[in-house]
Amino acid sequence: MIRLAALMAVAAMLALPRPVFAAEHTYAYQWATSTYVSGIDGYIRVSGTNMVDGNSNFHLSMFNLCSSYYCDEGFVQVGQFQGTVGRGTCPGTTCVRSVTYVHGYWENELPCDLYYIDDTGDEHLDPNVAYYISYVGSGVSSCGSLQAKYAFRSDSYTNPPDGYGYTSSSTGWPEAATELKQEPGDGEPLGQDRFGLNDNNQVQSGYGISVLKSGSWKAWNSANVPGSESIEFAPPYYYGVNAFTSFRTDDQ
Amino acid sequence: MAGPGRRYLGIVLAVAGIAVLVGVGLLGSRASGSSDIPVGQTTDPGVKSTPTIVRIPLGGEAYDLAVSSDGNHLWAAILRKNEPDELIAIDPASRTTTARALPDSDYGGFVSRVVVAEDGSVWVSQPYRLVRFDPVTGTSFLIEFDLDADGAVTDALDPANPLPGTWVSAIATRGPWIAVARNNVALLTVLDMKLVELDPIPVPSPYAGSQDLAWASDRLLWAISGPTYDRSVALIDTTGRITEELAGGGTRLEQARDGVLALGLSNGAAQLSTAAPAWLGTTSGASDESRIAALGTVVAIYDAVANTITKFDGDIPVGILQLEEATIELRPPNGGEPRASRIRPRINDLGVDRDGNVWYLDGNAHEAVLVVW
Repeated sequence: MIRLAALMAVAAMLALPRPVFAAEHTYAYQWATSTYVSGIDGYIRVSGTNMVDGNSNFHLSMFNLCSSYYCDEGFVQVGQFQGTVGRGTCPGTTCVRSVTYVHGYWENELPCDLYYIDDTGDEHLDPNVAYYISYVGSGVSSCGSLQAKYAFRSDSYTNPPDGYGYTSSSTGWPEAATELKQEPGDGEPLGQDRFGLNDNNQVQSGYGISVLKSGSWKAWNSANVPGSESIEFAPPYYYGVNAFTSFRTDDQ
Repeated sequence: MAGPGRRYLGIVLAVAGIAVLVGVGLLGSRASGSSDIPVGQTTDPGVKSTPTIVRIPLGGEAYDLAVSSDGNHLWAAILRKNEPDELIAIDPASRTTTARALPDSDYGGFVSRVVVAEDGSVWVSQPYRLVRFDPVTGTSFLIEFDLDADGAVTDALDPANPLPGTWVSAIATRGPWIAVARNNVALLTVLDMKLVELDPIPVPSPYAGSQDLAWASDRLLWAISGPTYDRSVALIDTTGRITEELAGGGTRLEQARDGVLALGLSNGAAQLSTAAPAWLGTTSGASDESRIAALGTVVAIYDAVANTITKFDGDIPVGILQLEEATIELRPPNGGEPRASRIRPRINDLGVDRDGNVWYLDGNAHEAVLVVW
């Protein structure tokens, strides 16, 4: 009798509309919410994958500065992505897409909740590229008020900006992360992403992650960036390589 | 201004006659138009708010739109990191595009500028290069700039500088001359139409890396301060002396029929003169990402705060386009709870064609967009 009741309950459940699963985000990252800096730089290499894009998935690795602990006063972000980010027809006015190749990008959420993204172009093949976020002064943002202005740059340190972003503060807590958005069951491949390593995936001076602190670039380690910690919502998994200046993330 | 040529670094670029039609769907054909749906209405019944929109693919992202003085030709440059760079000609009459090869810059183009000189030549700045394209012959010449520049500020190449480097930040033509501003360089390079360097113009350090330039006369230039200084606009003579300075803003300058227009000053947009600025009567365009264009009596302003493009006849608004805004769920970078944000298009620049129609560059869609009220 109990078994029959259970079967009837299961049958009733199957008759109900299936729940709509929201797209899932998973992360592996390091951050330091007790040390605020005015810039972050280092090399990022996102592994290209055979992207399943039917559900607007994406895979990205980035450097980020948040102006507050809850990141609710704006953030500036730069890195590499593959997939679809934004709303509406894509690619289009409010959406960027790169399914085949890994592209550079920057993102900016302003303190007034405005959000902008720019696909800065193809980074293939095997893209190990230096990215920079640095505070450059103040400017009148699209919020209509004077706010802290940051430049996004890539490749050579003497390259001009790829864009500007705005937040509420001239400093922010640094973060380096891999973010994955996928629908349950998509089995999105992630591969292996690398931060702060050279083209041969080795630790080398000049490739590691640094932070702009008190007017000079310093290696991201426990001494220069107290309170650093790594976190994962696996997958992707986090593997430290050289203190916090170099690490990798993957789906293994 | 006048001075003997010092160096000649022009190099013939072997791109003569290389013309490529952009976009398979556009080959020799009129671009298909599609009506957009404005999301807002103006309260002024005299201002039209439902324009016809025509979108024209460019094949890449362009950041600066230049218009010939007669309004018959529009030009945009597409610079790419790992693909060839191109100069795109847009014919506003046929609404078709033609692409010409540019030397590769391995850069995405955000600070690249395009201007059309009085002789019809088109000038494109790449980070450390200036290209002169002759539309009649299809030939290009270029001048390369060294990273180590005369007149550079002491920390120009210091990694601790917020923006190290000496790339070209702005260009402006007048008659047979073109002035070139470079980041962290307290000199304006002046070239003639053959790329011969003339005497440079010294500028005070806040104007090193000027964000925009416009000639006021043969001996005076308006300049917007460099990217790491508080925004101001100065009238600078060819000896480097500031003759007038307007503090509190300045985002873009536009050469117009009756002088230079400035955007983003503390009171809004202004018609600049060597005496005193005459305000246009609009507070549009105060933010850094706003843009302005003018031809004849028509002025167009993209206001990044209001998310609108407004067309003025003189200082009277005659048309407004409310750009779209969508809600997007953003999860904070640290994986916190998602929240709603507002996503908008990025409008990279504006232009006005011979018919007084307004064009803008859609940064994400990689399109030139024609707006007809």
